[in-house]
Amino acid sequence: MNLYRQNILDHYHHPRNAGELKDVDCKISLDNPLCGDLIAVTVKLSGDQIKAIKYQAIGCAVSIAAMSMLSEKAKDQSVAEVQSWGEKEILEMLGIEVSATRLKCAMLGLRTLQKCLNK
Amino acid sequence: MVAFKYQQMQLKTIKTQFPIFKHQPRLVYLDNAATSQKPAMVINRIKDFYEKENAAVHRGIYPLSENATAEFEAVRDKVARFIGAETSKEIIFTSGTTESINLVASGWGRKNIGPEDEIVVTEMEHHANFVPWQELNSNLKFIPVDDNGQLQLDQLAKLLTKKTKLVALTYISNVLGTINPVREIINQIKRINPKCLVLVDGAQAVPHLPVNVQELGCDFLAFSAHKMLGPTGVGVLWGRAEILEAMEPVKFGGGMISRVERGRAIWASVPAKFEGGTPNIAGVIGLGAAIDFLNNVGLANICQQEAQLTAYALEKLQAIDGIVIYGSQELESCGCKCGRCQICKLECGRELKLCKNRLGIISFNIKGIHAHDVAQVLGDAGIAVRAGHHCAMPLHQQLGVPASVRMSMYLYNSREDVDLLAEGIGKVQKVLKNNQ
Repeated sequence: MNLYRQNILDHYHHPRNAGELKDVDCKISLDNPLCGDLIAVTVKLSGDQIKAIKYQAIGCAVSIAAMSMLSEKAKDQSVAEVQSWGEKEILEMLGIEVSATRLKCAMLGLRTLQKCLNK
Repeated sequence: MVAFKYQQMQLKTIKTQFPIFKHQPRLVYLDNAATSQKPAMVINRIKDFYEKENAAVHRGIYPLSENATAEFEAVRDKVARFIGAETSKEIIFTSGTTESINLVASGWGRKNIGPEDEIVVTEMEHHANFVPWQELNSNLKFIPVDDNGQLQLDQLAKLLTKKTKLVALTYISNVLGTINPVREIINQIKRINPKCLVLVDGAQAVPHLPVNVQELGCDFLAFSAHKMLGPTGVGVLWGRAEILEAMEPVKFGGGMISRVERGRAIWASVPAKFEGGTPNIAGVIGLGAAIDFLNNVGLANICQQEAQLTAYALEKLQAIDGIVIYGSQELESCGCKCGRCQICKLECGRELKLCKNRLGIISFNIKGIHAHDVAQVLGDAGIAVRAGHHCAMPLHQQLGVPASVRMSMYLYNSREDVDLLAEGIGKVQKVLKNNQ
C-alpha cells in the first residue's frame, strides 16, 4: 500500500493549484498515450522566477498527486532550477517507492512543466 | 461425464503441478492472456534437455546431436497433430505469434500484396496482427466491433473486394474474450473471394480450446508457446504447404539453405527455409512437454471448465457497483445437453450456464478510478491482473477509454480466485474512492 499513502491520496483527491491561468507566459499539454494520462499546464513567470502554476490533469492517482505536489514545489523557484530536476527530485518529493512501470506516471507532470518552460 | 470428473478431481491437483504456486502460495494469477504459468513437467523437460541431452540440431553426426534432432522434430509432429495440420512440414517454429505474423507479412505479403491491393483486419486485433499489415499496405479495412463486443459480420460483403488479398483476424479477442465464429467467417470470405487468404491469430485460442486448421479452413495460423504452458521465445506459424513453398524466406543464414556458392544461394525446402540460425531447441522441446500436459488434461475439458469459470466471473463482476464491463454481457444456458458443444465438443449431460461468445477474458473499468490504480492495489493484494490497452489501442479508441483492467483465466484458476478478485475490487474502491 506504499504507493497509496495518505498524503498521495490527499493530493489525488484534492489536487492543489488545479485549474487554468489566464494571460500566461507559457502553456502546454502533454499526454502519455500508453495509459491515457493527460496534463495541461499554464505558468506565469516573473523574470526568471515561477510566479504561478495551474494545471488540468486526467489520469491515475500517481500522476495527479505528483503534478499537485510539483505545483507547490516549483512555485517561486527559478526556471533553471526546475529544468535541472529529474527522477531523483520527483521520487524524493513523493516519498514513496515507484516501480519502473509507474515511474512514467510520476514523471509526466515534471516532463510537461519542463516542456512548458522551454517554450 | 469426463468433464465433471475433471472439475471435481483434477482442479486441485492441477494447481499443485505448477511450482510457482508453491513458491507464491498467495498468488491469484489472472494474467494468463499475457503469459501462462509453467508446470513442473515443462520446466523439468527443459532442465533435463540442457543437463543430459544438449546438442545442436540438424548438424552433428554423433548420437547426442542425432537425439536432439529427433526430439526437436518430434515436437513438430506433435504440434501438427495438435492443430490438425496435414503434415509437419507445415509447422514453422518462430519466436512467438508476433514473429509468425511478421513472417507472413514479409515472406508472403511483400511478394503478393501490391500498393493497390487491400487487407481486411478487425477492430479488435492485437497490435501484432495489425501493425505488420499497416506497415505493408495502407489500404487497411476494418471489420467493426459492435457494443456487445461482436464483429459486425454483415459488413463483410461490403469490405471484401476482388482487391482483398488477405483477411487477418483473431480467433479470441485478447481484450474482450470474444470468440469469433472463425469457421463461418472464413466460409463467407472464400465464397466472396476464393483467392483471398485468411490468417488467424490463435494466440488466445490455441491454449484454451481445440483448434483444427482443416476444420477452420484458414491459410495461416499463428500462436505462442508461452501462453499455453510452454516457455517464452517459442511460437508457431502454420501455413498451407503450397503457400509456404511459394513464400520467400526472411531470415538468411545457416540452416535455411541447401547450397551456397560465391554468387548465389539455393534455399532449403519447407520448413527449414524459414528457420535460419540455430533455433530455440530447448524451448521447442519445452513446448512439446506443454502439449503433452494439455493433451493429458484434454483441451475440451480445459475449455469447458474455463467457460463455466468465465460465466461465474462475469456474474460476480456484474454485481459490483460502478463497474463497466466490455464485450459480451450475456449469459446463456448451453441448452443442448452438452456444454458449449460447438466449441469444446464435450458431452457432459448437464445444463451449464455459460457466457455467450466469450471465453476466459474479461476487461473492465471501475468508474472514477484509473485502470493502473485498480491493478496496482490489486497487485499489492497478491492479485495479478493487467492494466493498460493490452496492445489493442484501436479497440480502446472504439471503447472510448485509454485503458482497462483485464482478468484472464486458465486451467489452474478457481472460483476462489474470482471471489478474491471481487473482494480486491472492493478494497480498491475503499482505498481510492473520495470519501473526504
